[in-house]
Amino acid sequence: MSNLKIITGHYGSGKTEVCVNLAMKYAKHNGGCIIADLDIVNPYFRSREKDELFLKNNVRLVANNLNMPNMTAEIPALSSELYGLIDNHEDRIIFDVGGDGNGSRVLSRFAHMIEKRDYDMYLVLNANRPFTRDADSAIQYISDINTQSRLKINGIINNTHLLRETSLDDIIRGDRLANEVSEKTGIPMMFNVIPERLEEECKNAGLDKFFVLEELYMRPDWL
Amino acid sequence: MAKILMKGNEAIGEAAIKAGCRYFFGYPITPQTELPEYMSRRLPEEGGVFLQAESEIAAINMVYGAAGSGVRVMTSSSSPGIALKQEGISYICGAMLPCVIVNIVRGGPGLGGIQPAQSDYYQVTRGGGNGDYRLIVYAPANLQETVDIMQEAFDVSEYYRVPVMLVGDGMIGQMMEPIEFKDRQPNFQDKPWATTGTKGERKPNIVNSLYLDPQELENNNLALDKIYKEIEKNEVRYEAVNVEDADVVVVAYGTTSRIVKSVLEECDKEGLKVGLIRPITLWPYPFEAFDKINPECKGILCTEMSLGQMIDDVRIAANGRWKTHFYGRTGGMVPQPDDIKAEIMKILRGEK
Repeated sequence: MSNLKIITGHYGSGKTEVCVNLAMKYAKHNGGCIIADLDIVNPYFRSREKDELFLKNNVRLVANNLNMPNMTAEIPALSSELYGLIDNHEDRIIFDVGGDGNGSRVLSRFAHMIEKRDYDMYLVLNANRPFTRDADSAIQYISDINTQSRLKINGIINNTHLLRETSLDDIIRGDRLANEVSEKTGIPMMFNVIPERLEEECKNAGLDKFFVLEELYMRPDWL
Repeated sequence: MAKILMKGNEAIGEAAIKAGCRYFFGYPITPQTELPEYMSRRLPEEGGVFLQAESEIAAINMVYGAAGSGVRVMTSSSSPGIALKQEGISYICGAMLPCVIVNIVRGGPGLGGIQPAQSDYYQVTRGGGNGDYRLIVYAPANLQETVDIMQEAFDVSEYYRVPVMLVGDGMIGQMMEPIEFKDRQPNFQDKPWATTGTKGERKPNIVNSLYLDPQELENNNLALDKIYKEIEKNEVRYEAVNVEDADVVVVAYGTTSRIVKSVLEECDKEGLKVGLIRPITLWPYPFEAFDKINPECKGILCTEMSLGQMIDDVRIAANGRWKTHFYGRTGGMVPQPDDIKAEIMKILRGEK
């Protein structure tokens, strides 16, 4: 396990929600972390919107150089601090990457540095998304992301959900899909992302390796 | 069908395909770009055509041409892009052609910003184009409603030969929600007016909006007006919640209405009588919904992500029967539940 976690996936798979929850968990149990928002393909629902939450919780946000984390312009600008983060082996670091192969292309300029250190690059998989409902389509995304980022996905996260309507069935179906992808590619399945209210049910169903979501930080209460 | 998780823009695209739409002409602009992107991937699989035009103006004129030949066609854009399409929209209305236009609204004026807004209310209901024309304008508030409306929109547009405009603020385009596509067959109309080739058997059909004889143009406009009156009679849609005994009624559509609903839940817990009118069609406007409001109601609060556009229709609907108030945020800022609650409280306490 590396201190650098790179989170990729199909857009709409829930990467950012996973990243923000991961950051908050590190903040609570591991004395803080650094989250870098590398999403420059979609200006909505990005982790940089949570700048105030991060500030209050000992999470350092690296978004862009303009010192305006909430600026929503469509400029493909990355922070120069990213180079420093790749050299940083002490802190826990999360890279929240944009969706699809296109979104992960941003990593390719750092690939020569990242591949010289240890890193974990996970694919977030949601079996309820229309383009990643079967193993072959999911594997196509792995291949796209690997090609465009010039790095290698080395873990699969099952994040199959229907927002507040997620049921145990969704998680089981996603777990099966993630394991099938894992068998076909040799990439290990890391964990299931589950809401707190389903923790007992998941245990009873014989699922293991959970990451329990603290809350849906990216979803406003009124949605 | 089982529920799937889709992003608003993708869901609109898939619903259009299920409704028989096989032609899409458009140009990318945030926050609706996933829609053309989705169509570019899906339409070839369905034997359809996706074309990225060189501009919004080109795209709407391609829609004009395709609609003239009788096929199901759509375009989409966001606010400044819809502004560019206005000439074509007016021509399509003049030529009585069906099509669906999607506007995923962002902040304005000008290039504005890319965050959600509702400041195109005038543009979509009053028309940015010229002439006596109307569009049937839907403003859904969640993705299930959005796909349900999209699946019907082409039928409605063909039935009346009037373009349908689907309006969603940036949130509707960008948010994810579980949805289910209804099993529903499109209701295709005969189109004897379409330019499908005479095969030497009839006179050529001509699609045109030019009438040099003023009497002929007036006749055309009166014919359109008759259709518009019919639409006003049949197509009004809205949701009304607890308006009969409300002390305050909030009027809101789209994403804003969802924020208001969360405020209403809170008000209900506190025993406050607050109602909601949520227009689903912005034109025809649900004037009739206001007739059900408690005559003793202390005031009507119109909330929008604009500086006050729908408020004009709210005042027409209220017709002096109740005081009307406005609260809005603009430029991509989203009104927060607490702020709307504070405005409601001011009306309840008689401070407004």
